[in-house]
Amino acid sequence: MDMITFPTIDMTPILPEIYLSLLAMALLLINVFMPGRQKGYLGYISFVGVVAIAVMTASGWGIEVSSFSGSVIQDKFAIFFKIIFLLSAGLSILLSDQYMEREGCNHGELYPLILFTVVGMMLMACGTDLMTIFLGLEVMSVSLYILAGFNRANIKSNESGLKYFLLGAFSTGFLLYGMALTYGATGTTRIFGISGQLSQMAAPAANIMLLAGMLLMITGFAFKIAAAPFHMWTPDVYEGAPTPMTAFMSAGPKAAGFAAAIRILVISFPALQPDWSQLFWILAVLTMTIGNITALRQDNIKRMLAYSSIAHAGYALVGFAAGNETGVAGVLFYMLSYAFMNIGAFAIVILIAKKGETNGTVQDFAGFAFKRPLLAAVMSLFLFSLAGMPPTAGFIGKFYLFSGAVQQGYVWLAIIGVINSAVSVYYYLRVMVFMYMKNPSEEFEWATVTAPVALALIISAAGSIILGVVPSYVMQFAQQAAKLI
Amino acid sequence: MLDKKNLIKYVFDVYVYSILVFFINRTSRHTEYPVETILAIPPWRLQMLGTYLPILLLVIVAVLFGFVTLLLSSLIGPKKSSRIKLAPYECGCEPVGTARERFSIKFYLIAMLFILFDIEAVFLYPWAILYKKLGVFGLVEMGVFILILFVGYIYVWKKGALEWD
Repeated sequence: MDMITFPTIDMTPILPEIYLSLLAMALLLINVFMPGRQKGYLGYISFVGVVAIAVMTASGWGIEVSSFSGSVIQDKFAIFFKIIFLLSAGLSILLSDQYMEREGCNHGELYPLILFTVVGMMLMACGTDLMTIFLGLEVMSVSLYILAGFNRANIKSNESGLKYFLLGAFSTGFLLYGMALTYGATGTTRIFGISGQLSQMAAPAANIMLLAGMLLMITGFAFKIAAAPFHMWTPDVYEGAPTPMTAFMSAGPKAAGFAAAIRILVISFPALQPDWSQLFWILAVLTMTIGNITALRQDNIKRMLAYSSIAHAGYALVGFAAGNETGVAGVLFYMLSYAFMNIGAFAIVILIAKKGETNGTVQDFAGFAFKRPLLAAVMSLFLFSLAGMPPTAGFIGKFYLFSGAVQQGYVWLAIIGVINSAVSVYYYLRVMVFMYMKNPSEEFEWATVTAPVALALIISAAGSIILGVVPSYVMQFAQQAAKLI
Repeated sequence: MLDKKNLIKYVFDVYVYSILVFFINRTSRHTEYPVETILAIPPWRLQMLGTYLPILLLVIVAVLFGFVTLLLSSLIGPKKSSRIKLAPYECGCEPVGTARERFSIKFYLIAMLFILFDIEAVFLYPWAILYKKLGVFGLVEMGVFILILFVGYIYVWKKGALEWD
C-alpha cells in the first residue's frame, strides 16, 4: 500500500484562527450547559480571549511564514489587519452586554458568532489563495447575516438580516464568478501564481477573460466594503442591525474587504494597475460624494453614521486607488483609526438610545452636553475625528491617504477627497450643535454607563487621540505592513 | 400542429444523431480528422465543448426523452378523463383539502440540520475509500472535522432543536 505523503504543515499562520474557533466552540457549549438566562459572563470570557489572541498575533510580527502550499501566509500585512479585526471585535463585545440586555435579546450565541466572524475576516487577511480568501469571506458573511438579524423580536433587525443575506449572497456570486474567470485565464488560484502568469502574458490588458474576472472580483469586494454604486444595502442593514453589531460591521468586515481586495489586486494584478487604479479613482469619488451628500439629510443617527461609513470607505479607496506604499499604509492606518472612532461614536449612540431602538435621532442629542458633559466631550472627540480635524486619528489617516494619491499623481482625487471632508463636517457638527446649543427635552433620561461600555469608550477615545497626536509609532508598523511585494 | 408521423421520425432522428455524435466523438478523439468532417458539425461546437460534449448530449437526450414521451402520450394517447382520473395523485390516498397549507417552521429546522449532517456523511466517503492511504494523518484530520461537527450536534441537542415540541 503506497501511502500518500503529506507536506509538513506549519500551523503558525492560522494559529489565531484555530484558537478563536476553539474559544467560540467552547463558548457555545458553555452557553448550553450552564443554567440561567444571563449570559453576560460569556462576553467577559470572549473579551479576555480576544485580548490574549491579539497579543499572540502581535507577537508574530516580523516572522514571515507561508504555509499550506502557499494558501495562507503570516506577514506584517496580515498581522496588522488581524489586530484591527480583534480590536473591533473586542470593542463590540464590550458594548454588546448593556445593549442586548436592554433590548432583551442577550442570547449567549452572540459572542461565538462574533468570534466566528473574526475567524473569517482573519482568513481573508492572511489568505494568499483565492479559495482561502473566499472561504474566509463566507465564514465572515454567514455569521454577520445572523448577527444583523440577531434581535429577533425587532422587525427592523429581521429586515436588516434578510437584506444583508440576499445582497451578500448576490455579491458573493459576483466575487466567485470573478475568481472562476481569473482561474480560467491564468490556470491558478494562488495569488502569487496569478501575478507570475500575468508577467508572462504578452498583453494581459487585452485578455478579456482576465479583465472580466478582475472586474467581477472588484464588484464583489465593492459590495462588501459598501462602495458606491454598490452601497444601497448599507443604510438599511446598518440601521436595523443591533447597534453594537452595526459598529462591528462598519469597522471589521469593511477592513477585511479592503485586506482581501488590496492583497489580490496589488499582488496579483500589478500588470493591470493602470486599469484598476482608474476604476478605483471613479469608485472613490462616487463613494465619497454619494455617502457624504446623502448623510447630510439624515436625521436618524444610525443612518447618518451608515452613510458616513460609506463616505469613509470612499476615503480609504483614495489610498487604494493610489496603490503605492503610502496609499496602502494609509488604508491600513485609516482602518485602524476608523475602528476606534466609529465604534466609539456608536457606543454613545447605544447610551442615548432607549429600549426598542427609540430615541435615535440627531434631535435626541439635544442638551446632552449639559446633562452629561464628559460623554458629550468624548462624542465630540469621535465626531471631530470622523470629520478629519487635527489633532485626531481621522485627520492623520486622511492625510496619509491623500498624500498617497498625490504621490501617484492623482492630485484631483485628493482635492475631491478634501472637498468631501469639508462637506462631511456639516453633519458631524450638526450633532454637536444639538449637544451643546439646544436645550434638553423635558423627559431627559440619564444614560447609565456600565463598566464594559466605559472601558470601550476609554479605549476608543485613547486610540483616537494617540493615533492623532503621535501617529508615527503606529504609522511605522503600517508602512512596514504595506510592503507587500 | 406537427404531423404525428413526422414528429416521431424527427425525434428518432435527433436521438440517433446524438448517439452517433457521442460515439464518434469518443472514438475519434485521437484521430487526425476531427468529427466535423464526418457529420458536418460546426467546428466551434466541438472546440468549445471538447470532452464535455458527451455529457451535454446525454443531458439533452435525457431532457428530450422526458419531454417527448409526455408530449407524445398527450398527442396520441386516448383521452377519457373522469373526475377521479383528474384528481391530484397523492400516493393512492384520497386527497383531502388544499395542498397550499401553512406548515410548521420546525420542518425547516429539521431540514437544515439534516443537510448539515448529511454533508458531514458525504465527506466521510472519500476518506473511507482512501482510509489506508491517508493513514494516521487522515484519521486525525477526520477526527478534528467530526469533533467540530460533534460540538455543533451537542449544541443543537441541548438547545432542544431535535425535539418536536
